Amino acid sequence: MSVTYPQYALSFPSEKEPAASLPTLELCRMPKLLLPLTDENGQPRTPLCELYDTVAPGQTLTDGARPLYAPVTGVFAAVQTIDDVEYMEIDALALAGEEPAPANVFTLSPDEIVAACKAAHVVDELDGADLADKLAAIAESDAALLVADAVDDQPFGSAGLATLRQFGAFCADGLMLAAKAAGIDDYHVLLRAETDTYKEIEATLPKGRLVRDRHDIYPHKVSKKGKPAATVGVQACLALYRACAFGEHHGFATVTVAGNAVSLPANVRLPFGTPLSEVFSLCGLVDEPDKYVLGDSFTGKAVDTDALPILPGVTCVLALKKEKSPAVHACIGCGRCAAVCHKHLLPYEIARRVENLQFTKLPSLSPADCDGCNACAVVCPANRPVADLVKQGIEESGRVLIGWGVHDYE
Amino acid sequence: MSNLRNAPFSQNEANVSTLSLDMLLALSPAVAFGCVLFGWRVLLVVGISIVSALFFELLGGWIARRPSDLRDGTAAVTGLIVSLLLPASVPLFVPVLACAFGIFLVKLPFGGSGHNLFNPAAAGLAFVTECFSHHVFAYPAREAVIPFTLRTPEVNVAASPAGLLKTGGSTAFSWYELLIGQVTGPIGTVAILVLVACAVYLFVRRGAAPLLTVSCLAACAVIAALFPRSADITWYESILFELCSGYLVFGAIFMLNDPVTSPRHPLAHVMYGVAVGVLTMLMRHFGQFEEGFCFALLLCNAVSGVFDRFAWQLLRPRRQRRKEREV
Repeated sequence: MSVTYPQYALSFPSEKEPAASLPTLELCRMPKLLLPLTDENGQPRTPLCELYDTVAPGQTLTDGARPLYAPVTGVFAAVQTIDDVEYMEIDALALAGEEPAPANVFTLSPDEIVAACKAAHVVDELDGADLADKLAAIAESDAALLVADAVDDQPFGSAGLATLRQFGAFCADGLMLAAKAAGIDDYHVLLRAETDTYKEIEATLPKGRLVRDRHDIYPHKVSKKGKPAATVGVQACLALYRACAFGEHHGFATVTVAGNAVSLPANVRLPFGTPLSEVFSLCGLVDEPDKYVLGDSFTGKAVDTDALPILPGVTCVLALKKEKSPAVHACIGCGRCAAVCHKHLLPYEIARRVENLQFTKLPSLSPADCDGCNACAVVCPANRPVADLVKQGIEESGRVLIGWGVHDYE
Repeated sequence: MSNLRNAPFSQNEANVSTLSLDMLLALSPAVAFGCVLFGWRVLLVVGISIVSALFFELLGGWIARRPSDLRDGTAAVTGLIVSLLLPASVPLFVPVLACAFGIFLVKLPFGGSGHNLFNPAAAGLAFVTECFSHHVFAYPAREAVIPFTLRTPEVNVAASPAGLLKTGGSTAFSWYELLIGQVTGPIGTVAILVLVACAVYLFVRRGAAPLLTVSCLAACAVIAALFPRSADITWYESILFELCSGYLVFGAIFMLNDPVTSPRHPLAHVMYGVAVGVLTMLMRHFGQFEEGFCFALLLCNAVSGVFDRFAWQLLRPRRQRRKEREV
């Protein structure tokens, strides 16, 4: 597998830290409970249940003079050490949220996988498309490779990395299921990370399934020996695994909360429908934000209210404080927009035709090929809204203006 | 929600000001080397030229009731380039007039920076070349001491390598003198090795397109090898003398790479560079003056959009094939 970029692709400084290296916050499940295995008098308690047993509320968990009782339903997940000045160093019983036993996903047939995917309404976070439809389209194409994309090739987002770190093995199983459903033998997880993080994640995944991309370059494309490769989101893989193993509906996402108005940038695991105000109150705002952005800073959509919910397809939300907007100059004709365009368009030429109302000249420049990656607008040294003009060009393409009746335009 | 700008919300560090700053930085070694070779009057010529360029930019903006932004740095670059193409002993009104013509008549009437059809520095220089060729090509002799004075200094004048080639004689300079700038000539253009180092900086910073510079110089070298202007030099001597005389290398690096007036497409870059190179050599062979680069550049400026369109048409089949492969 090889990762390719346009010849003069956009290289940018990463803004992922500190969110990328912090553990994922959980908004969606009961947090882990710790029950000390030493009582107030210093007498030890011995657990009565086995590791991974599910316990009911009120169940006796330990023996001893003052035994422990389970406060809620949960799973005996681990014995953990608490190190504190007051408690000294004592062991504690960690009670995690209840998890049903997974079904055996390795024996499922492709049809069963697609059926489970459909029933769970799994949405691919890369493009917001329905995963079942996408897998059907991939099965019909000549793709030779399926890639779970955890690259996060925009400056702020690190949700793919956080998902892999939290649920690496499940994501790999989900990718295996997706590859089976699409009829592809070769599948890999693609990741952009520092060496330490990469090694940590590599240890949790099946051998040889993780590929590392070392560049901060936008956008990226994967291929195998010149043939195109199909990509699915790593969160969609996780959702597919949970759909097949537990019959669970796709209801959760990992979302990066960042931006220069956020005090603790972090990855947050939350249910769909969580309003922006909730995640920003969890991560804290240092400043009155000027705008909220649904999506990353290259392609996101600015909104001015935090009442909006986070819906499938969003993996990053930003709160940006007011900054002096850069001066917009006239096009200096440097040609950088054309150099970074991975669709090989001429954004400056399309923008000029749109500004001069020469819409009949647009079809030969094929603005409809634009996939909205916004690299041209990021790279523009004159800070011109090139991408917006290209988008306008798609709508206006071929339109003929008759006479002087152009009242819509200034 | 009019205050909400659309995506993107982060911007590359390179902007118009940093591009101009790169250009000024790349030109500063040429200024320093000019001071070493020709004395401190170089600073006077450079300073007057830059200040007058900034002044005319402001004045033009005031007359047109349009705010002029000097921070984009394009006016300063124009002033600096103009001054570096003149001899160190030039009367000070010459760079002022060149900047006035370039900015006032060539740049601003078309809409200011970003909209100008012709390179203002080349246009200003072409203007003073036509009007005051006896000042513009009067290069001080190598041993002459140029006093630091506002008046026009009285110095001995010697022929530059380009002038010697024009009169049909072989140049009296050796190859290393040509490369390190121990020759008569304009302030900033004689030290070829310094200019090449500056070019490498610009290429690395992506402030200049290597294809433009290289194709222009290559075209000149081919013509120089095929048609030497003097009977008693070999073909490789001809290439060296032609490339290192006049301000061909300087122009190919700093004037040809003006992004506003040059084409955008890599293939168009090659065609445009070759066209400028061929026209420059034609001007040198058959023109009135010893150096014709700025005239060649202005001629090609007028049709640079045509090169772009031609390249776009030429690559249409390739685009089509690529598109079919991707779907």
